[in-house]
Amino acid sequence: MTWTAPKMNNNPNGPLEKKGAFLKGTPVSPMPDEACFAEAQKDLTARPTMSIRAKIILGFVLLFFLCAGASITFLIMGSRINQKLKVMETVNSYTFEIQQARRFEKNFFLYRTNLPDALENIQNAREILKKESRNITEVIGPEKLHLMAAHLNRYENLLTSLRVTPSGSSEKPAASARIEGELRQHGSEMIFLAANLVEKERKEVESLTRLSRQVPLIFLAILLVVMVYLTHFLAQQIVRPLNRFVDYTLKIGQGDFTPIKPAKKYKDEFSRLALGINWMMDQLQKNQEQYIQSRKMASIGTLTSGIAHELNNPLNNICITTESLIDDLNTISEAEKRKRLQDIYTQAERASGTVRNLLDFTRMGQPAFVPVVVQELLSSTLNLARNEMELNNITLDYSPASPEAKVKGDFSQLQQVFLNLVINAIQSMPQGGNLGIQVKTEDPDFIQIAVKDTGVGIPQSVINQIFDPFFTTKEKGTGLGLSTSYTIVKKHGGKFLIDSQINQGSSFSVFIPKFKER
Amino acid sequence: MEGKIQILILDDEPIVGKRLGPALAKMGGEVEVFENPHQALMRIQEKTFDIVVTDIRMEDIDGIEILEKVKAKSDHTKVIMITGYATVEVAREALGKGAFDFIAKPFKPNDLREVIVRAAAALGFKGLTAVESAK
Repeated sequence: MTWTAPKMNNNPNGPLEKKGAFLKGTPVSPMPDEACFAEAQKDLTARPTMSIRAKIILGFVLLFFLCAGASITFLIMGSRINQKLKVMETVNSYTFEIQQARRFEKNFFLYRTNLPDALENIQNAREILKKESRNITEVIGPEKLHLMAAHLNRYENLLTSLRVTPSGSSEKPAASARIEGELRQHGSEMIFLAANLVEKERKEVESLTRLSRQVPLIFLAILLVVMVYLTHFLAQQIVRPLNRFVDYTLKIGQGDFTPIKPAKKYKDEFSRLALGINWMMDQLQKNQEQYIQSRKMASIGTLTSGIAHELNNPLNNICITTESLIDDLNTISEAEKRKRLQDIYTQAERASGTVRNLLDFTRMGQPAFVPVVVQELLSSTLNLARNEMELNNITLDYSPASPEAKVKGDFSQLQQVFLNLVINAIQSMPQGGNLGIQVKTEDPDFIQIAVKDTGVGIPQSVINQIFDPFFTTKEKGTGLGLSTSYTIVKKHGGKFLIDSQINQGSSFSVFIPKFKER
Repeated sequence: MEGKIQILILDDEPIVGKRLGPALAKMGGEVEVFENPHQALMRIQEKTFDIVVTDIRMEDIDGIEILEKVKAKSDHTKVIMITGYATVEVAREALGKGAFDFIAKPFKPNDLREVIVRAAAALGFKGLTAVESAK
């Protein structure tokens, strides 16, 4: 199974690109930088505000108006019914007075008595009409009221005209009869009118009450619809953004640090959350570099045994040799003295070389591109790893390249890459094995350096992830080795080629641009 | 006990053997020096040493194994471990398996001398002297 990491465009954005996406052929989202972050923040804040709280308030105000509407309708109906009842009462009183007047009228015509009583009743009736004239006008209109008043007046006049005729006198019986007829007519008219009025009002009261029974039901139905809609709408206002943010956090968890962009036309409470998360991601990325650096210092743990050994041995040798020289100063030959001094010098150089290697490894800087002799690069790397190889019973298969083979790059950074590959190879062979280093120079533009092992191999399921930062299959690994190596190779304009079989071994090939003499 | 004390030194750093050998011989012991652990083991099978000084980290066979083999052959042999990289676990393991003492690089040659003298004394040798080296 072979996998090639394609040649990168020079994107100096570090190890957080999604390499998996490259492999599947989908476009890689470029690592967001400061400008992208600032723009997203600006977009988020630039929108007009319509907060969720405002929407909730609006919803409740709507409900309130609905209830208010229903209540007002009820109140109005109630007051109208009340009014009508009052009118009916009034008209009944009026009718009573009229009827009393007519009784007294009949008495007068029979016994010539009670005329003043009749007149008094008429007066009462008129009072009633006057007192309730406004209510009555509202119900039957001014014309009907005038008509009633006119009838009343006419009736009164007729009665009054009777008074003038002295009681007991029988002259003008025809006139009397006429008056009586007219009286009767008006009287019955008035009663008829009043009765009609009452009937009409009664009917209306009936229909109003019937209607008022329906109002609560209608109101409840509308209320139900409005509430369902409101609840759904408001819940969506909260649930939908929450789901969106859950998606965002999942994406962030997978290492996608694209800033959150506006999703709606208006900003609300959730926009503050988006701003906060964007800021948090920005800070994380800013700290990432520092963090990786500190983790790299920690990853030196892998080399500690080698480094300590490599420093303590030369120092010890210097101690021993110096002491023996002092002890034997008078007894040994000049040649022997010189030899021992030379030993001391060699050991000192050895120690300083180790320190230099260690410093180079930890240094984090911009690569300085110079011609790098491949042979020197590889032998110094193998030197650093020698201890690990010995400890793990690893045999070495390395035929040095010609001294002419040069690549363009930064020595210490490339050394870091190969040291990483070599250490990984060694660690894939816990029971021992063979480490092969091969240099190929046929390609006109690149030198290919392959680091091969006979170890456990890389499973298909993780091959896409091995360059991801913090991905590791080692118990105590930092997961930064390959991701940093990847970055370095990319910065050099190079690429990786990986071949791996389970339990047979892996081969990591690095292609680095050749140094071309001008 | 009569006779010279028999010492074996094993360290893959050539200078260690080259310089310590004569130094310990001057103290009054008979010293054999080895750089290769395999060869050292073969010699140990042939001859019983009183003191074995061995490096811990070496190619192929490590010092712990040497310790075990020496102790298996002759329990009274004092084994002294040298190391360029000392950890608590290694020290514990070594002492647990019967090492006499532990000395970490870089050491002053006097430190080693003192340990040897102590080991010799423990074995009953009286002839060894720790010569003060010129400082």
